[in-house]
Amino acid sequence: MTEETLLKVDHLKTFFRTKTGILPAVNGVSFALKRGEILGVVGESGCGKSVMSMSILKLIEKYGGKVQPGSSVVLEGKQLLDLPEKKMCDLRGKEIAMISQDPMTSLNPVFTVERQMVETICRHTDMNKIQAREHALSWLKKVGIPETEKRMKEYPHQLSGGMCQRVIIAMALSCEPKVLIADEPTTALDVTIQAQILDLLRKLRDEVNAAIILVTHDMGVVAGMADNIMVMYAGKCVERGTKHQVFKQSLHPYTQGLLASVPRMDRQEDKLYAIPGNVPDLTQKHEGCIFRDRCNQCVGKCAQAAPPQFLVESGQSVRCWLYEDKAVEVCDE
Amino acid sequence: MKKYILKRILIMIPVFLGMTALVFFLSNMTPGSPVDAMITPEMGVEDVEQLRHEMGLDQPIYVQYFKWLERLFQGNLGYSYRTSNPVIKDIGERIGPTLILTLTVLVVSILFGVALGVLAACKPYSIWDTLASGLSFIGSSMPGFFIALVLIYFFSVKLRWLPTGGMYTSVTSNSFSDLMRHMVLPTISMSLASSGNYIRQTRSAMLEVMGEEYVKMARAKGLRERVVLYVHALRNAMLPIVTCIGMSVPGLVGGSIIIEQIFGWPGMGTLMVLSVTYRDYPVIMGITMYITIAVLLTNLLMDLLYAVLDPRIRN
Repeated sequence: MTEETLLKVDHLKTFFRTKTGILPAVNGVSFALKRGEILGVVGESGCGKSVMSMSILKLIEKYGGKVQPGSSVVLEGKQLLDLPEKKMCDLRGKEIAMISQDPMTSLNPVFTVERQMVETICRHTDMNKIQAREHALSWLKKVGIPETEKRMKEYPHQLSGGMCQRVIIAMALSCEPKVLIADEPTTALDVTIQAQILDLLRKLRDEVNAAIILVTHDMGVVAGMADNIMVMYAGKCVERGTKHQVFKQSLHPYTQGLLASVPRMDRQEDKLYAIPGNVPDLTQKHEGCIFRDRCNQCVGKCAQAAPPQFLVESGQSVRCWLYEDKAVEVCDE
Repeated sequence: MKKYILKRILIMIPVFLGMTALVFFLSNMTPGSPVDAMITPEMGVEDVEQLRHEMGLDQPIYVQYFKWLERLFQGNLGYSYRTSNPVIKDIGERIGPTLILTLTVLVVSILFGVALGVLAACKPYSIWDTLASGLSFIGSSMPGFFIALVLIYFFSVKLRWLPTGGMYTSVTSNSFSDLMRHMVLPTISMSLASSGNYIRQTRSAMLEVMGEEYVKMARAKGLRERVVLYVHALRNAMLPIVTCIGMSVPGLVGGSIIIEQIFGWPGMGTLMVLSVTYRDYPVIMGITMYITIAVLLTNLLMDLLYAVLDPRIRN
């Protein structure tokens, strides 16, 4: 596995114009992804995870969002945000593929599995229909679909949720993308299927050597899968580090809160911990740290200014004033 | 599936019979009798009774109905009281013009309505959307006869580009281009009204489908926007559009009574009005039968079309 950077996202800002004002859904997110790496992106609903994925694919404009100038998404030296739509369209599914959160609604109900898979393969390769069909068949076998020949001819409503997700994974990987964005791939599935799907993703990652951006709100999923973790809150990255760093010694009070709210088998607790309050309304202007209202470790400075990203010695970076003294570098975003 | 189709076809038989019975009794209950139109000053009361007896009108209605049914199964629809021609011949003469006009209207309004609806849904709040909403508003709020009169005033009376009515200029000049010229105005007046509906249906169906997850996935797969819209989205939006089209077909097969009257179009609508005025029962029954069959067949066709369009309905 080479150490070179595959995808580099810098100062990504995406906003929506709403009736109540401008909503900065993604507000300056930066990260780098290496070949074969699995990056877990964690955060509660509405923190901008999905908008971030759609912005990387440059699809957010179709859904009313706008990527602010100054943002940068570079894939192998190519600036995606400057790419014309035609080129970007060729790249989607070929170099960056996506798996979405609800497998049951992500396949077109009026076309067979075969048609949807062949269509994708033909779009991005030189294969003819017959070759594409063989290719699709081999991928459906790889994702563990039994009776592939029969399943190929079926419609999405004839498949279970887990089967649908397998088809979607097969479809996404059939063109051997370099980056796979998995937007909550297991949220809609029951737990036994979840584990199978995650296993499958890990196995296929090794086979295709694709980097995976695993977007989820499930700490358990990232714990099992990710190499590195990025915690997002209100459109910003609040903490970033390796999996072990984030789980063993999380720095940001928000991350600590998230981890504390995971149910534990080894402790007897009557009530599950929950971070108080709700995600703030992003259309309103906020003074100071945006997490301040919900934070249990607030200091005086929190009310005055929004904290920048502090890089601490261990290599972790955190957006919190508590670590100002320990910072070796301040990356202002 | 085959069983389902067979069942649907078998069910059409009692519906058809029920329909004919209903219309037969209702039209016989209306005041007035076909004999009224045949009375001459020289005729006495006995002569009128004699005439009624000859036409079988003195028998109870249900006997008349069964006699009509009996003749129907022998392939005989009877003779028109008004023209004395076989009903088949009278209707046959009118079906052609009505079908030419209404099928043209159907094709034009579907193409126009669906295209504009898709365009409006793809670019919401754009100029196309405004145009589409405006046209569908005009189409569905203005009665066809008003649009027809406005069109006649401008294009026939003022500009003298197109004829005011009829199907051909004269019996001798019955060329295709002449027919086309006569069809422009009635087609526009009728299409505007029905495409208004299609525009609205298509727009809302497309907008709904375009918010679906599979459309997002189709885009994320790198499919071209054209393919996403016309293959993935439109195919799913077709269902409500087909329903809408199916519901407007019955109104069209009978011919538009008002539009045909305004443009003097020699179609079924005009014949229907004439037959009702003359209490021409055999012709009324003939027209009813034709419309009933057309509606039943359209419904069957729509159901089959649903199954073709949506695999979820198939089983």
